Amino acid sequence: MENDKDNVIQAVVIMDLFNSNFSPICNQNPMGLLPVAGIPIIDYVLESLVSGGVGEAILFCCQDSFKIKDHIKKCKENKVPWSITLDVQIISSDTCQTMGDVMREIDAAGLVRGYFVLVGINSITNINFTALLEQHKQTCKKDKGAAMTLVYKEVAWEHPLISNDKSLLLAADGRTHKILMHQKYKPKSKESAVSLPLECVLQHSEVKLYHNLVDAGIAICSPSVPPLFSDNFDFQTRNDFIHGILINEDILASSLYYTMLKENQYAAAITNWKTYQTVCWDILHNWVYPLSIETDSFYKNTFMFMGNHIFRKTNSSLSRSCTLVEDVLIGAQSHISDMSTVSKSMIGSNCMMGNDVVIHGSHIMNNVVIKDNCQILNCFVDDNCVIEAHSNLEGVVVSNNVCVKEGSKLRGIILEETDSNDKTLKKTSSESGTEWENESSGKEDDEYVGFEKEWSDSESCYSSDSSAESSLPDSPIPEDTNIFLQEVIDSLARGYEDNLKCDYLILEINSSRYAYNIQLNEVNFFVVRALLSMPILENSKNVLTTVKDILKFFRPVIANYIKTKLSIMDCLKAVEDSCIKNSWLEGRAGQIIHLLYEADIVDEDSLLVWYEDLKENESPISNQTSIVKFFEWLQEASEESEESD
Amino acid sequence: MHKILEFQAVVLAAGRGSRMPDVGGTVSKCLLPVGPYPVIWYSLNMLERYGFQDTMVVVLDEDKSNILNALEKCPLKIKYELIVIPSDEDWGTANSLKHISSRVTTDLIVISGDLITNINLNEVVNLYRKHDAALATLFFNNGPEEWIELPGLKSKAKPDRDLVCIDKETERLVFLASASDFEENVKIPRVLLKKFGSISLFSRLLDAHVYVMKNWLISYLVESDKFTSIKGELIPHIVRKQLSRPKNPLEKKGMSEKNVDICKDVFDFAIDKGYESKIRQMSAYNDHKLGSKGVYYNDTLRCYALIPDKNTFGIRVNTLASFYLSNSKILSKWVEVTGTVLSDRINLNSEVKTKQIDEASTVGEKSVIAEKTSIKCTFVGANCVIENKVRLTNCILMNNVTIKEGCVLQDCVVYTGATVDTGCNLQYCLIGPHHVVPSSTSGKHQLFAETTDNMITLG
Repeated sequence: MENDKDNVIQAVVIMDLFNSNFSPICNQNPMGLLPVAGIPIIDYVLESLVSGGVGEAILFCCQDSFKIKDHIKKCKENKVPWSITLDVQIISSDTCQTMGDVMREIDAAGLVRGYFVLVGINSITNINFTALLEQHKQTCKKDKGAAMTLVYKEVAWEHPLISNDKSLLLAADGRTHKILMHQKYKPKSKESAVSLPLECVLQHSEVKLYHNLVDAGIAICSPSVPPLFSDNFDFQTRNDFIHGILINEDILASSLYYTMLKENQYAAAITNWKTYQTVCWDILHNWVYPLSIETDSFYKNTFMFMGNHIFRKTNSSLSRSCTLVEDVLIGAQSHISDMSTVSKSMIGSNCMMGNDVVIHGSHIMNNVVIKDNCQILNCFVDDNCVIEAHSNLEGVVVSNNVCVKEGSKLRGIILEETDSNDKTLKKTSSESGTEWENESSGKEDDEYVGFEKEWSDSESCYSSDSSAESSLPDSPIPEDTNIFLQEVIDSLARGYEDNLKCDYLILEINSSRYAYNIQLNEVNFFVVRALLSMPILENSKNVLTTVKDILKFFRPVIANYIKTKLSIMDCLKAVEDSCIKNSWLEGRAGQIIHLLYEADIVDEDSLLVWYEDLKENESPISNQTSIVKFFEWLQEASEESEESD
Repeated sequence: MHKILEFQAVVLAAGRGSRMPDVGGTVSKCLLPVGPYPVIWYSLNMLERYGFQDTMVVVLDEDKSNILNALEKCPLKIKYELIVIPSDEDWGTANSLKHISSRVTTDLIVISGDLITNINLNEVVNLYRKHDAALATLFFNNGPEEWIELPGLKSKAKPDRDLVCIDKETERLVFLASASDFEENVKIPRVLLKKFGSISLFSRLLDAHVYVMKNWLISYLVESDKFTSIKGELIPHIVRKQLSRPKNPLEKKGMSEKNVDICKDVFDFAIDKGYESKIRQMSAYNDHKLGSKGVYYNDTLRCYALIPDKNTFGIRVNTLASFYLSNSKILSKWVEVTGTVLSDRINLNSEVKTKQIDEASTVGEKSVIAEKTSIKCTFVGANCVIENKVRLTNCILMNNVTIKEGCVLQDCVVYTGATVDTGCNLQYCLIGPHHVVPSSTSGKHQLFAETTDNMITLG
């Protein structure tokens, strides 16, 4: 019996994504219960583990574990196919904040016996885990330090799974498949060249370079992986782990390998709304076979196939004059009325679609009512919502129980209910919205991707003639300084909110400074820049009073950095920069300068020098009335004071 | 053997051997002896084997008569026309090509005069034909270089390496640079990785300097007038241009009106003359599996590279190491490389009195080897005199060399006309042309030559 147990393949499923990509939908319900093409994602994951040869699954929940437990219990009662052979163990811990915490917990509890499969709850795949595990064991025989085999799927660069997620650059030894470099790019990143260390290239006779890979979040791990997480408390995410191993390969005596999936195997990770949409369609197109829309039902197939990848439950009803174009899934008891058109969409059960409704690329959950003449494009509508007539929604995420008013026209926002008593809508800022153009202004959620209106993935793989040859573009702000700025803003905002001592904040800023290797003059610049970019300013009604408060509160911080003439110039440059970049300071440069002047942070001489510079460089703010007025005033004031002398 | 008519061939043999050690006096690279024949014979022989009836050979002015003399003694049926370039000017390989451009009427095969290989040339040519390529090249993947102890001064100079990116799926050559172009990081255009799915970056390949190129490339070379070296400039330029698109005609027009840019760009030359593009559109063939792009990603300019398997013998005699290595390997590979059986390993006109000469040695015309000598793995050129009680192991003796009585030479290279006086004992030494090594010298890793500069680099 024991021997038997040793041969059972274990899988660890991490049930949380530890990000807010699917908020607010995943705030109430765990990620595992998010329906993908009508079926909770966890059913796909467990089914794929079973068909891939896994015998024991450890589900690690950090949130709402009871809901998952209920679901698993229900599945077992209903004798869902996977429940017959798979031994499911649910572990929950509320203290884990990151994937690293989870792995440390697993290590502490000694949950894994040996080699194991590590998947995220968002991995949809039909691969054979047994074969991959065997392959990993072979690799381990050759290299004792092999810690992980990462599983990738090769696709074309135009594939939506690549263009809508962080693209990955992988460099690996051509012979052994050992990973040498692993770098993630932001989606639509404009970087024109990749750089590899020369030494590394010359050491290996053949280096393979991949840039068009889908990372499905699947890894085959050696027993050494959980202890590695425990030993390195700074490993928070899978990426931290990968980078940590690659950088300290010698110290940790570990290495990573990759494997490429074969053509007939599918693997993808649902990381944001766009990839969610893509995976839904892939499931409908049967790319993930044997996973399909019938995954959770063993024998009760109640779907009716109507061609063009249109499926509907037999007890759903369609009116005679409605049109289903392609890729449509309609749940039980739903009804679609006259003259409505549905394409590329999933509709849950008990939904009512009115007349003349157009639904495209949308995901509508259960018990939703959509009244007449609505247009729903690329939206996610959660349970029990009502969308009143004549509404027009594009790229909107609607959380449950929301009622969209008649005639609303909404684009790229998130709608959620603030309170159960108070039925008003809270519209989260459209900044963090749904299209990538907003990426630079969306502050904290740089990972958030919503839907968009239409796919536009015609990115050419050619560069224009000139850019192919000039390999070095001028980058606006290097990555590190951006992170630094963000950290300073975060520290200051927190300090302001919690009324922390400025000394601590200075300490914090300085430690970030060393972490990112920022020059002193840059620190001066960024501190002022951060002060003027604090999130409270953005929503403040009276920006100037808030700025005044901020300056007053942070006076010790400013005094610590802005002391010399040179630092004053840094400070003024930061003001210029902020006034150009931050919309809430638009046209207020003069007032800001005035506040600084009154607070004795900047002196008159520096101001004049700076003003000359502005005019010389034709800065966009040099002609602003507020600036011109301020300097006129300054001139007069100085003349007056001279006279009085 | 069928004839190849669609190509003209040119052998570039005007190299000065700048990577060879300076031994004083001039030694033309293409006349270095490898086995019984000079280096250049091997490339001509290869062309002959693969059906060429004539070829052009670009040589330096000063070498012409020597080369003619040397080739006359070799067995060759192919007609070769020597084209001289001035030896006092420092012409690059691209200059040489430009020099012969008026004679080129078809597509061209360019072969370096220092190549010795057993590759089937048809493989390269077929790769070129198959994809209607602009350019096809050949790289050897010989694995880690064998470590050999070299004659002459020890040196640490590392050879420069090529960085070559090849897309495994389509065999396209997509990136070519020299490792010395980069300091710490190698920069590769990101579009390259987006476009091609399976790029391999090789750093230990040996460029065979075999190029099959379209006729219009020569016209472009002449027209643009900015290239001096084929390998260093022209090929990387063409490879890079694969990523660009032809400028659209409107844009172009605007530019010429302003007289800003009237020089033609490479796409003005790379025009399908026949129905190729129409056929490609109608064909279901595609060279890559993923993505929705048309065949060849709709590129008009395509470069390919052939990497034969590791067992292929390929060497370029441009360094002392490769010269030495080629000599030690040539006899074992003789049939594969030349396609003939070496009949006169020991020349009939030579006078070999000793019996202690092994199978791995050759003796050139009119050489005299005395009775009591022992010769192992050694190449003796023409008109050499080897006196009694001499022992030679792993040596290369060029023409007119005299080794006096009682010498022991191991792993030495003795250049033309040199004399080693009695009783010397030399290991890993280089003896320059017409140099006389005084009697009873013994040395290891030394250079005996009349050079001005002894700080030379070997390797």
